[in-house]
Amino acid sequence: MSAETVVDFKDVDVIFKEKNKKAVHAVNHVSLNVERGDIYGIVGYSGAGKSTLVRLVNLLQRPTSGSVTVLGDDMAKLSASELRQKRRKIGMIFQHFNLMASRTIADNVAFPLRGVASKDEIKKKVADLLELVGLTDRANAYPAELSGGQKQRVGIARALASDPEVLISDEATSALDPKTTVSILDLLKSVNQKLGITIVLITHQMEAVKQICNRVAVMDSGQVIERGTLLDIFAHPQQKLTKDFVDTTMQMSATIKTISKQKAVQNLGPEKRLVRLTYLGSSTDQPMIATLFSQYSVTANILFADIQSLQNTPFGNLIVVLTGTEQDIDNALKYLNDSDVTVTPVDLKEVESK
Amino acid sequence: MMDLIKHFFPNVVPLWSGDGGVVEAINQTLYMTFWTTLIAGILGLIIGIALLLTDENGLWANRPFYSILDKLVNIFRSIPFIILLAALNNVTRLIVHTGIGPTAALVPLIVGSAPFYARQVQNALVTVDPGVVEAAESMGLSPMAIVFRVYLREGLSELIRVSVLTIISIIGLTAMAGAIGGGGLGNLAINTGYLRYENDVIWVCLIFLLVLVFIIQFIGDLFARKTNHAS
Repeated sequence: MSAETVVDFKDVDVIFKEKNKKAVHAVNHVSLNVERGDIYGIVGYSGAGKSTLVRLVNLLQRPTSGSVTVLGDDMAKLSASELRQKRRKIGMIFQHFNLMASRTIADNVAFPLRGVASKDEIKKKVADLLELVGLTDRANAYPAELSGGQKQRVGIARALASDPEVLISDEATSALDPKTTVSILDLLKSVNQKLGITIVLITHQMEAVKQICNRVAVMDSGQVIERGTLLDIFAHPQQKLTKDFVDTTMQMSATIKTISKQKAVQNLGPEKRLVRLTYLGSSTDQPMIATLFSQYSVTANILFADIQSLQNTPFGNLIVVLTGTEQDIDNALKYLNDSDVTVTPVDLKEVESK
Repeated sequence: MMDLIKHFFPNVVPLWSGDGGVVEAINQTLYMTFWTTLIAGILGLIIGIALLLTDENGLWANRPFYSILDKLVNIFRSIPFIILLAALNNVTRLIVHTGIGPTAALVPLIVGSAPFYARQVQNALVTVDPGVVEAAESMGLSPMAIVFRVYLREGLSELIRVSVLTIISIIGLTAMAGAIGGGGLGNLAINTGYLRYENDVIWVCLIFLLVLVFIIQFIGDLFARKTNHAS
């Protein structure tokens, strides 16, 4: 299946200039493409420019230079009325939901359809959408009566009302508690799978990316510093920031801090080495730890182990103390490297200084 | 009962109906309030929305246009009404061909209250959540559709509140216009009550003005509450 590009950023810049202030380069030479069916996660800390980047998709933000092509059209070149038509194909959900307080849930969902569809069509569509997001019984309530998670469900139903092909999620789960976040992300995933809607999701929560995205870009000060499939980014992060983001999903820095207080790692002799082992997928089929002992006479003391599922592929992280002669340990590490296990030495001093 | 009224309001009773009477004064006040509210209301709404849209964060941001309109509104709001009445005398004659009476008073009343209401409208609609406006934009609504379907709808409760405030201030202005020949309860209170030392006339005018204000406030609060679903 040849993938069709749905959103294409070509060398896009956004520069904010204000009087008497230094110009802010919010988006810096970004090229990126999102393919049909993707759930593309753009992750970065606040101020990284991801919110500006995503607003370029429906031209709520105009690029200073470069082009953004969505569903075949250069957004900046559309006329005002063409742009309005195009925007109906690009749904958007927001961190603070942005529902209309003066309208009922059903009216909020019907909002994009008024004047476009007949009364009966609207009624049916609203009923279908409310069923999809599980809020049929709240149709006549006002937004103020709903919880945050329910409001976001209304937001999703409203965004889907005009049958979009692309859905932009602007920190949609950042104002929600962890349990609600998981359920909203599940809903987005099912929207992606059932309706075939391409999703561009920006967030600072790597957990959210891990749960539903298939591709990831990491942003820092306006630039995309790293990108790849979800598995690539988790298994082989290159940049420091990417590694930090991946580690947040395992609370790795807290873990290492705890480990550093254990007796087993204090005063490590020349025969002991503290390392982190990371592996993805098939590596798990081999009896790794047993092989280390039987073939290389190296014992492994497991201090921490974590296995997560990334798109149904196991992703393992271990922190172990290896004990053996220097030569044996070197051989053992080579064996691990050959079997696609990434070995990184753990430096406790670096952790303590943080 | 009648004796009691005669006792407390000796000057009001013979003055009740007929030319220059209390009933006529009430009608004139209602007449001035109604037409000023209607015309200044429409003008103020249009100017207020124009200010909202052309402001630097507005949907049609236009700095020169905004700054001219903004200054005009400020200038007309700063002129004391009693001076505006006098200053507009010739303009009034030109438009309605008379310088006295309730219809003549309409011209300065409208000029005085439209900019006031415009500013109130602008301030009321600015309170509409910009996120909701952005959401409407992302759904492909035109700026005009956003004005009617988002701003006027989401800001309705606040709009009613400032409209009540404006109508009450217009009632105050009609009394002032009355004092220099506009007619109505203000005219009656000053030219009959105050200048002839007939204090009971002043009190009756005052009571009717207060009743009018209370009725408008009551109805306004009722609607403002009904349209507010924010909490």
